[in-house]
Amino acid sequence: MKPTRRDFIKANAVATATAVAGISAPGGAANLVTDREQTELTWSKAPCRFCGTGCSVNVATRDNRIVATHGDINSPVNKGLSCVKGYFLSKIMYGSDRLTQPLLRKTDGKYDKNGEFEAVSWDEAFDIMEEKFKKTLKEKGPEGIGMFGSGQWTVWEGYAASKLMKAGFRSNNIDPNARHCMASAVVGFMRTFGIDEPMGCYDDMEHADAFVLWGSNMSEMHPILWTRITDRRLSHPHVKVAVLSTFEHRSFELADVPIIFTPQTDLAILNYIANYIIQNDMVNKDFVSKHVNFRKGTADIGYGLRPENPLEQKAANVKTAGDSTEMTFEEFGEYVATYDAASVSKLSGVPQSQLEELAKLYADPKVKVMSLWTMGFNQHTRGVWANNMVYNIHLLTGKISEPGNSPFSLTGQPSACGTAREVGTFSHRLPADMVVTNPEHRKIAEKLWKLPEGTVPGWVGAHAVLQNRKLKDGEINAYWVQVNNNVQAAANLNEETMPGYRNPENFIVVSDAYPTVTAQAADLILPTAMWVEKEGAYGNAERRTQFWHQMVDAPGESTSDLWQLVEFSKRFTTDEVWPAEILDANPEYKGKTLYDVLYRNGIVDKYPLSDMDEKYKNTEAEDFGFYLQKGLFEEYASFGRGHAHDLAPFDTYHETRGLRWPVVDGKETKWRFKEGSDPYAKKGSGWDFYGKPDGKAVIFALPYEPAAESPDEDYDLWLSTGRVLEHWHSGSMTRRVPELNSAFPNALCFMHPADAKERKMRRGDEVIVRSRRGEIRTRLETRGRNRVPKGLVFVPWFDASQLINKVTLDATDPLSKETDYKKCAVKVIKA
Amino acid sequence: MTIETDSIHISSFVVRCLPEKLQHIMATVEALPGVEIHANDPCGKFVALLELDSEKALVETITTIELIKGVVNTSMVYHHVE
Repeated sequence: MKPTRRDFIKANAVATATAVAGISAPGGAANLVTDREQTELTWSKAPCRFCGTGCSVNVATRDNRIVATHGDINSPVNKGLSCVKGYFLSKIMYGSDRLTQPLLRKTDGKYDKNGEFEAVSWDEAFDIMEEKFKKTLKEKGPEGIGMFGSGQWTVWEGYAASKLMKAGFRSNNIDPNARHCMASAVVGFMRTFGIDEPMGCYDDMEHADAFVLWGSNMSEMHPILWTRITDRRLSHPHVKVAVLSTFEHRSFELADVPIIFTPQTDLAILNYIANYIIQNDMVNKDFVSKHVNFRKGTADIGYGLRPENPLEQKAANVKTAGDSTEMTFEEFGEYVATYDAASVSKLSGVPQSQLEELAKLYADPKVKVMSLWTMGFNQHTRGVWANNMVYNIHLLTGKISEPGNSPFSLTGQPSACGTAREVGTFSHRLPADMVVTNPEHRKIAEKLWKLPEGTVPGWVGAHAVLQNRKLKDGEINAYWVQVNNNVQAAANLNEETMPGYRNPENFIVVSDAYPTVTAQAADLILPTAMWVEKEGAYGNAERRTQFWHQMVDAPGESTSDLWQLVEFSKRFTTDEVWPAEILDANPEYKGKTLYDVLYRNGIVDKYPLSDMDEKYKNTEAEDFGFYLQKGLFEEYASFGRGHAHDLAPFDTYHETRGLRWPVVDGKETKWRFKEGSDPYAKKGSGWDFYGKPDGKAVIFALPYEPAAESPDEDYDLWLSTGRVLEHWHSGSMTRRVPELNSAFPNALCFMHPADAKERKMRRGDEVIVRSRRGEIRTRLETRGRNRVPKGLVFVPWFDASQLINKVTLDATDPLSKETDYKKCAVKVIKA
Repeated sequence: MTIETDSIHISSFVVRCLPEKLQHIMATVEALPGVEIHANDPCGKFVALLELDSEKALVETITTIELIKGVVNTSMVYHHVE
C-alpha cells in the first residue's frame, strides 16, 4: 500500500470513529468509499443475526458471497457502531463444516436409528419424515408429534411453523427456545399488564438519571446498548449506575453502586425496596390510586420438576401456582414490611448501606430510573415473580412509560420478541397475545386463517422442558427441531435430553446450517439457509420490526426453514390429519393438502412475484410462484391491526431501519400506556394499562422462596452459567469465526482464588465440575473478566466440547416453565 | 467491515472508560503494538486506530484493551483491509 493511500485510509477510519463517537463531526466521513475493491460491492441493510438488541448492519456482497459488514450509521439502534461479534458477521455463514445436503442415519441403504449419517436427496429425506410423522399421527394423534423452534426464526418462519402445527397437524406441541430465555418475562408482562413486551424503548437510555441492572451483564451481552448507557453516564455526572449480580463482571467497571448478592435473594431485595418506598412515604399515591390494583400471589409453588420429585411432592400449591387474590394497599404494605434492611442484608449478604442507596434511586421522585434485566431474572425458578416485583417498584412510584422511567426487559435472541412472542409460537399461544385455551381466540384464528371452526385444538401443548421429558418417556415420537441447539442448551442432558433423542421409538429431525451437537443427536439433518441467504424479518427488544432481503444463495442444497415447512405441508391431506367430523361439516376442505388449506388460502398466496424488489432474489417465492413472505406477513399482521399490535404494511419495512409497534397511521409508538405517546391510551386517562379490562396494572405481593438446589456438604458451591462477549449462545456460529474462537476457544471454570487455594488447585489446572446429574472437565480460571465471590463458580455454555448442561438442573419456574440456569449445587475437584 | 484476505488491517474503534482514568488508559493503549490514539473526550472516550497484519492480532488487541481496568466498553466502527 502506498504511504499516501495508507494515510488517507487511516484518516478516514479516524474521521468515521470520531463522528460516531460524537467527539467531532467531520461531514460525510462515514460514507467515503474510494477504493476500487469497495466500489464493486453491493451494499444492503440487515439486522444483525445475533442478539436481541437489533443493531442494523450494512452488508456487502460480491460474486454471490458476503464479504463485508459494518455498523449502519443510519440505524437509530446502533448509530454506526458494532460489537466484536457483529464485526465478524460476514464470516458466520462460511464455516468449513457448513452442511449442504440432507443427511440420514442409515445401515445397508436403509434408515436405521443406529446407523451412520449418509447424504440423501430432499425427496428421500421428506419421504422418511412423512412416513414417521404419519405413523405417529395415526397411532398417537396430534399429541404424539412435536416441534421445537426458535427466537431466531424469521417472523414468517415462526408464523408458518405455528400454523402448520396448530392448524395443520392440530398439535399445540410447538414451543420456541425462547422458553429458555424470555418465558418468565412474558408471563411477568401478562400478569402485571395483560399485554406482552416493554412499554418503553431504547430512547429511555438517553433520558434516565439512574440505571439498575438486575442480573444482566450488558457490557458483554448487549455491548451496543451498553455504549449508550456509558455515554449517558459519562456525559452526565449526576447519572448513577447500579449493577446487581451474583458475581462481579465487566459491567461493574461502570457501576456507582456495585452489588453482589447471594443467589436467589434478589426476590428479598426487590421486596425490601418496595418496603422502603412505603415506609418512607415515597409512594406516588395519585398514580397508585388511579392506575394500580393489588393482588396477593400464591406461594409455595414448587420447582417445575417431574411430579414425582420430592420437591414437587412437598410444595403445597403446584396446581394453583398462578392464582392470586385481591388485597389492599395497606395489606400489601404489611406483606412487604418483614423485608426490612437488617433481615434482607443478612439474607442477601448486601450491606445495609448499599441496599438503602439502591432503594433511594427508586424512591426519589426526581430520579428517572431505567431497570434492565435479562437471564438473571428470567432463568430463575421464581422468574415471573422477579419480573412482577420489579414492576411493583416502578408502579409504586409511577416511574413508568415516560422517557427515562422504564422497567425494561432485554432480549437475548434477535427475534424472541418479533417471532416467538408476537407470532405466538409458544405451546399455549396464538398471534397478538391470544391463547389456545380461550375458545374466542381460537375462533378468531380460525376465521383469519379461513379454516373450519374447531381446527385449532384447545389443549396446552408441551413446553420445551416437557417436550424433552415426553421424548424420553416415549410420548412424543416424531419431532422436528429448527434454528436451535437444544441438546447443548437444555439442562440435565444425561438424564433428560439425550435419552429422548436416542429413544428407539423416536424419529428426530434437525434443521441446521452446521453439525451442532443437536444435529449429531438427530436421525435426519436438513441443511438450512441462514440469515441473508433468505428474505427475513426480526423483531427486537424495543418492539422494532426490521426486514432484510435475500442477498446471496444458500450453499449446496440448503433451503430455508420456511421452504422446508411449506414444502413438507404438501405431503399431507386433510383427510389424513383432520377428524371426520370437521371434514363432514366442511366438505369443501376434503381431499385438500395442508399446503392448499394453509398457504394457498387466497391470503398467503395473494401477492404476485411482481411485487418483489427486482434487485433481490427470493428463492422461496420463486419456487412456490407467489410472494410467500409478504402473504404470510400480511395475514399475520391482520391479527394485531386494530388490537394494539399494529404493524405497518409489508413494503414499508424494506424501506426503513425498522418501526416500533403499534404503528398507527404510519407512526411508531415509543412509550406505550401513556396518554399522548400511545394512541391506544384513552383520552383523559394519563396512563392506561389497557391490557387489563379496567385499565389498571397489578402490583403482586410475592415472597422470597429458596432455590431448588443450594450448596450443601456434598456439593458445596453454587454454579452459575452464562455467556461471554465473543460467543453467542451455544457457539454454533461464533465458534466458526476463527478470530472469535481463538479469542475465547474453550469454556473455563471461574473460581475465587481462596476457594481454589482451599482445594489445593491453581489457575490453569484441569478440574472436574460435578453435580448430582453429571460432570465436565474444564480448566480453572481465578482471574480475568469475571470475579466470582467465594462459594460460587461460573462456567459459560458456548463450548460444545464441555457441555455444562450435563451438570445443570432442569428445575423451572412453575409459571413460565423457564429453566433456572443460574443456580444449582456442584463440587469442583482436581481432574 | 471485514474482507476475507490477509494483509494490512486498518481499523478504528471507540473506547469508553472512566474519565478519571482516561489519561492512564490512553497511555497503556498507545503502548500496545500497532495502536495509535487520535481524538479524545475528557468525559471518558477516545478513538483508537489499529494497524495490524491479521485479524487475529486485531481481536487479541481489542480483548487486551477490553480487559484493562477502567475500560467500560469498546465498539468497532471502521475496518479496511488490503
